Amino acid sequence: MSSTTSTRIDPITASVLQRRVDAIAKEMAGMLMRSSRSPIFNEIGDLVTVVFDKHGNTLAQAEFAAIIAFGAHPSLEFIINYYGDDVHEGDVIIHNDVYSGGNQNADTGIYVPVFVDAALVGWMAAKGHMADIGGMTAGGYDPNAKDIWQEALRIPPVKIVHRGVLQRDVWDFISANIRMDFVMEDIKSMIGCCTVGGRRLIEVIRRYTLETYEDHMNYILESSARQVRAEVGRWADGHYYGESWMVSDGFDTTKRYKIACEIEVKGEEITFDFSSSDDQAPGITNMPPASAKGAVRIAFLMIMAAGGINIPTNQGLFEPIKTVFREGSLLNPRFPAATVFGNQMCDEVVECIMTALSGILPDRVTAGWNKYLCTSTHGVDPRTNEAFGTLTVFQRTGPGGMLGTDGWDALGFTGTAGQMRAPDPEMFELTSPHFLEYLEYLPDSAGAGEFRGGMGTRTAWSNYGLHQHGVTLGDNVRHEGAVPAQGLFGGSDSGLNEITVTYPDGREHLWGSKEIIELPAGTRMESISGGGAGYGDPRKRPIKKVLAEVRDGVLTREKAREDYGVVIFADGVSVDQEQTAALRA
Amino acid sequence: MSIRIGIDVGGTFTDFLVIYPDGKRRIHKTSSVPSNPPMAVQIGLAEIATAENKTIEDFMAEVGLIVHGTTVTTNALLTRNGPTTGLLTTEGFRDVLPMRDGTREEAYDNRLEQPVPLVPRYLRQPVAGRVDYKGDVLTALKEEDVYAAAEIFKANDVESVAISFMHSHAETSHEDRAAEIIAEVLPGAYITKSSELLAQARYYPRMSTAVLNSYAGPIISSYLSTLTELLEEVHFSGILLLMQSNGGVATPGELAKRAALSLLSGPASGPTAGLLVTAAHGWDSCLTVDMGGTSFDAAVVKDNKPLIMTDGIIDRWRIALPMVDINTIGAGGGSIASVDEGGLLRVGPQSAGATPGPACYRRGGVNATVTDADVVLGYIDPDTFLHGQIGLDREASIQAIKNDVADPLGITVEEAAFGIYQMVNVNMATGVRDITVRRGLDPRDFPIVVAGGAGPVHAGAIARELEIPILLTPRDSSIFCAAGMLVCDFKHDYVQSSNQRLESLSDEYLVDTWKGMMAEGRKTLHAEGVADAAISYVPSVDLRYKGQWYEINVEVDPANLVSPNIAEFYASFHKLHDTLFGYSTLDMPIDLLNIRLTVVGTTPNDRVDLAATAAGAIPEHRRRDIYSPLQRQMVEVEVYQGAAMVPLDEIEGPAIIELGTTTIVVLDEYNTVVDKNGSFVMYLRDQKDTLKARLDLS
Repeated sequence: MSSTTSTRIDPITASVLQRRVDAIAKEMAGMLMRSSRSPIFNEIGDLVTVVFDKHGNTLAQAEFAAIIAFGAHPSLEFIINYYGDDVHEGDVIIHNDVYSGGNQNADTGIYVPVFVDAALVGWMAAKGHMADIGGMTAGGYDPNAKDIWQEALRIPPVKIVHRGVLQRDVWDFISANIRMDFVMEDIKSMIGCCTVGGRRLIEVIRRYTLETYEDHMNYILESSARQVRAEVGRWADGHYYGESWMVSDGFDTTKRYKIACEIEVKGEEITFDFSSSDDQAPGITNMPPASAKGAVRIAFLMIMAAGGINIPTNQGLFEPIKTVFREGSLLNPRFPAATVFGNQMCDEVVECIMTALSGILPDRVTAGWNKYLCTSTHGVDPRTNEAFGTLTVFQRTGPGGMLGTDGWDALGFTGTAGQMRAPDPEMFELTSPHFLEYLEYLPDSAGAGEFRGGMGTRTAWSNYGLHQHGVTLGDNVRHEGAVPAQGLFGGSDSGLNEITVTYPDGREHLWGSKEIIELPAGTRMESISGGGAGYGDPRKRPIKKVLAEVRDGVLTREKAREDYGVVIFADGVSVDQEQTAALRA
Repeated sequence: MSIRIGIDVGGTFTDFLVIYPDGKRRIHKTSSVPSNPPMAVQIGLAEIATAENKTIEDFMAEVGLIVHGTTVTTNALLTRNGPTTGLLTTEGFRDVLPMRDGTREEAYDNRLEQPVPLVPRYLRQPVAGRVDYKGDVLTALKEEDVYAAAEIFKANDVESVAISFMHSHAETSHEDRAAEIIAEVLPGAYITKSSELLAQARYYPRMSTAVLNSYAGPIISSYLSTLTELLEEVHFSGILLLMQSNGGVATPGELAKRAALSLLSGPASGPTAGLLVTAAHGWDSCLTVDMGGTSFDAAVVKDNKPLIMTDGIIDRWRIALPMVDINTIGAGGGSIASVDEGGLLRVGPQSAGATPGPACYRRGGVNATVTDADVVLGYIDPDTFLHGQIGLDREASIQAIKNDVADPLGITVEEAAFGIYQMVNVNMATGVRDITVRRGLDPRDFPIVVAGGAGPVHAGAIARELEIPILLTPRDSSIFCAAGMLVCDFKHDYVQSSNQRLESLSDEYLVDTWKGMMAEGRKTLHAEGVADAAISYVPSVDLRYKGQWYEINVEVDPANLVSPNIAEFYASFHKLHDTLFGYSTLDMPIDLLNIRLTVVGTTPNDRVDLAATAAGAIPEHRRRDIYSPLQRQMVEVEVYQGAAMVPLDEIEGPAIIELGTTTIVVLDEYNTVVDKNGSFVMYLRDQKDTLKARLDLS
């Protein structure tokens, strides 16, 4: 960050400018959300829009899927170095490559430089998860991939618009390598929102003058950093360790991988060192550093939010945070390793950090989130004879409980931090060749605790698509011998997941956590998604709450007695006070 | 022609606007009675009769029309004071309600609590029986399940039931039969069939809307029967109409059936009222902004119609009925200012509300608020605030701003107060920008109509932010909503889900669907006493490009009702998509999601004339110091008494116009002229000639 300050800083102007730049990022995201096509992009909101300064520092961003949120920045750093002076008004640059700053190949970015009076003043970016980006399998998720070329069309930075002129050859080249026609529509929509954002930024700069704008934006970055330093400075100095386990690399379904983090708090600085994590895997279960950084930031922001601290999400926020990812490890694989599973490993990274900090910040951390599992499927819809792709992200796991608050039921994945929309049951049937049998909370799934984990779900659906395949992308699958996420301070561990596939011929198959399978028409999936881990001694949970859950049918009388020490009569509505007191003594 | 009365029941006051056959008006205010809301209506009417030296019966005999807006259901919902409600869902989908759309409101905040559903799980009863997306019955309705659920409801004193089955938008028979059974076992229960209320696909929004309808149903029904009785007691024999959230009015009987339309109906007449203010200049579009103690509402009226949305949220639950699109943000006089550890100023969303209130209220509030900043900047006169009913303590404002903002930032109290003023203005301007740009509209094309106690203090600065050159403040904005109600038309919205490619849509199907809706709408309006000649139709379709998640509502020419021209739908959609998102793709297939029809019945109302009432006595001439953002210092300015200003009076900023309930801050760059309605029109002086040419000051 540069901090050469020539004008007098007025904190009021800084505050107003921060709000303005933030509004630009949000307006861009709103446009993109409403106009984009790829389901993972707009249903899940796997997108981010960012306003950068001319050096590539994030000034403001609007995120829906947290894991992608900070992924736009490392790519821009690469782009700025790559092009040097060769950046012009009217240029549009596209990028996805994970070995030049990308977080996941499917997460493709559009970068637009903004000029005022022929001088570069900033960058606008929109990044989102494309329904397809080439590679050997539609949708890009294939656990059989062993290198980057199998996973995707690599796009190191390329100008698709040069000085305002669309490069038709580049456009057609990219288009020719992507399966779904609407992906190019999404690229149009990203360019559209960056153009509007650029226009808004120019208005702001013209109003305040470039010098005032830049000086005050630097002040804002410093201000975020100051806030973080002040907060970290209050945390006890020391070294703290946490770990989490991933099971299955897609080839060896029972292989366990350790993700471990050593956190050093020293004065006002904090370092997250993941060096002791296991070496990189042979398949897709590797996490590019851009994605790993995003995961660290999610955990950090959750811990700040739990302390009631809300900081503008700009570059300054992360300035006091150091991250170390050992080259050749799961969190910084060597070229040309496959990495499409990387974003999913956010659950492991967050669990490491929460566990590590539970000693010094017991009122801020959550117990373990049950690691997420869902499926992605592609094929042809016989009703229209058109290709379709969809995600069954109504399968929901539970977050962990925390001091004072139960985990949110059926919220799912840490990497989307509660911003991932579930397909509506009716729309799922209307827009893809599926029949959804049921979708409900899974009784007894919440990890017991004074503050229980969030509940998981039970779902079942069948398909009638043609040439359909499905792929799982997750973890914590029971038959693979998964390690549940950890309970805290006496709370129970998380549940586990399992998807049972019944083929039309009656054959059954337990779907692995990272496995691609054919789905002939008439296949039925039955899924159990476990709940999150509990926090604190379950016997301290108020009897009233336990009783209410028994009455609601989400907790059985057996579990109420066994886990919570609450004995409920057969009528399901009254408590045997005497026995309960004895059990809870 | 008889007397017309608009009644707006608010949290603190109930406002009455009485319009006499000769066009004269009377404004009356009485305290609301939260424990028994219809009481305030009765009391107020009695007070008006007394003021006219008439018995209430004699007065009411002359009243031909009462239009009424109530917050009774909204308040019951927010305080969870509604009936015990039951829900029938399709077996296997018992938790669709609490799962909502699968997200939470704050990404990183793990402390955020889940909303407690209006129907607890033991009263969300699953029923076997399944219909597919086309409306074909796959499994018959299991009536035993419905009977069993009804017994559970009975045992738990359920008063109201919502029925929402998978794909009932395509086939209603299961919901129809289940409703019959519930009515048989629980006679007197309020019943909502989701297919009847909102026949559109998307299970959660339809279910949530049905539940809200059943939750509101018994409340509004009992409110309306009490009110009707009270009015009958005093021999009222005119027409009683109720405001709906879609910006139209309905009879009590119709509103009781679609009770969810009473939720958020309170401010729904505001945008239409804006048109009354702009009418003096012949404008059919405007932005309306309303800033009170805790919130700021912004809405858009375009081509004589308020903009409508179908993705509303109330108390964290989806309400998918078409509603006037009012963007509410947490910015008001009570918004609290603070400095974070990084040294940046923040204003809101926390609010000191009315209690403890801003520091200057001296009710225990110690935090610096927007009102405190307004006091320090001289925009609000501590002695005449709200007609002097609440004496404000300027010293307390200074102290609070010094402690909370000025000292931490190392700036003067004045600078800090101006900082707070700027921040809240930027927040509000962003709220206005959001509601316009997401529709592809440019806010600069619209004049702003300003209402609310704090509105005129901030509106000029907001308009500067948005580069809007003209603002209008009506003389008495407290009757703004009540006046709007008197000119709202009857309005009923119909929707039918129809999921198909636009290219496969047949003319016959479309015409039949609309015909059914027209018949339904006509029947409803006839029952409300509207004759065929006063009925008009606004057909529209919800379209999106193949694969998109959001659909766009495209209004089409009513000629399509008889002979559809589907090619026109394509063209309108591409054009609108381009306006909204900056591109269109002519060769991309388009999906049709819903067919809609709005049926409008013109109310037999003359226009409401807002012409100024006679000026009161001219108060003494005064001057005071206010902060001039342009000169960046306090300057002494003229204080005008609004009541003494008559049409064509014109003043130059910087100046203050006191209106008793509020203050208009005329910034340096503006002039203010009184129009023939008595409204205060503020315009940018440096564009005087062009702007005055747009005004009708004849």
